[in-house]
Amino acid sequence: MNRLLLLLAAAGILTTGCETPAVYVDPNAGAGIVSVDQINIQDFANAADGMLQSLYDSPAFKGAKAKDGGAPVLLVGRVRNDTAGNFDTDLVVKRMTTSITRSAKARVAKAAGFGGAEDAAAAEARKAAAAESGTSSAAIIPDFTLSGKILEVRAQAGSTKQVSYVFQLSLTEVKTGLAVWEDEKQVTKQGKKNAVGF
Amino acid sequence: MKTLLTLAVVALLSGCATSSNQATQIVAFDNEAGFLLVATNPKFADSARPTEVKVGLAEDGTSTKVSLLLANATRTAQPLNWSIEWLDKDGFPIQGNVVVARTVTVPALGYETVVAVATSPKAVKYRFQLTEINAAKAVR
Repeated sequence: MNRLLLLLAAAGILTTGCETPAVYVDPNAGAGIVSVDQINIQDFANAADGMLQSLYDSPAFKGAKAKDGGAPVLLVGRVRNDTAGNFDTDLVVKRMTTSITRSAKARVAKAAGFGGAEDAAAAEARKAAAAESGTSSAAIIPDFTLSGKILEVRAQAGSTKQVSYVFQLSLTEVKTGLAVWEDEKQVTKQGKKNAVGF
Repeated sequence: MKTLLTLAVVALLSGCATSSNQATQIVAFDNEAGFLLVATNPKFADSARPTEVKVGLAEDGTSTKVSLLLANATRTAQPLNWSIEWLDKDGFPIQGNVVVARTVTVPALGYETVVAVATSPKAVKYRFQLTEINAAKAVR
């Protein structure tokens, strides 16, 4: 009995010793897990970075000004997740709006938005401030809106799986209703099993 | 530019001669351009040689845009990861700028151009990192 217990304990220690300890990695530098059957954090980073490169290398914001003379106002519209995966499209959109805000190329509307304000507290505070002054809060009229879709296409040959994620985004000028910038980025992964890195 | 390239190549070769099992990290800078080559293969500097840098403005008229021409003098295609880190006028990294690595293959006896647009108006300097795929795995 004691011998059995000793053997079990030894096996337990051996198994624990073989486990790879958890470490911090930088998925944007190619150290993240690459899943064949789902979208990974670095895919969002790559798509957002590619979209931003494309947007900044376009004349979309060139010379654009809001009515108050400041940088144009951008309202984030609907970005639909049409993939089988359940993820928040903010993983792409937030990266983009963060960069746009930091670049000062446009001001992102937070107290108004598609399906409700992103910053509900700011929206309420604006209403309260307007009520206190006996006026109605001025509507946030965007100069541009950002909308898009994320799609998924799957294929399989034998045991090799392939999945493509297609990120489509459009920037529409509100005044004309016309797209001033559009782009599509594709992330395709192929393999038999999940891996780490590029 | 020639001096920079020569420095990078010489440093790469000498680094590998002393520690062939380790990933070799090379840093060569001047005031205008910076390159960091990470490789275990001593021929990496021949198969992904930074050949020409162009700096200008992006289509929006304000963002800095830089293109780097990579030349492969070998008979084998060279896959690599590249990324660019943007720096301000004093050489400090731009805060909040996520450095994303991208994969590109320089064809055998051919050229490949990588292009990057700064995501901040403060970005005026840059630092390219070219990483041999195998070296990326080795340093992890």
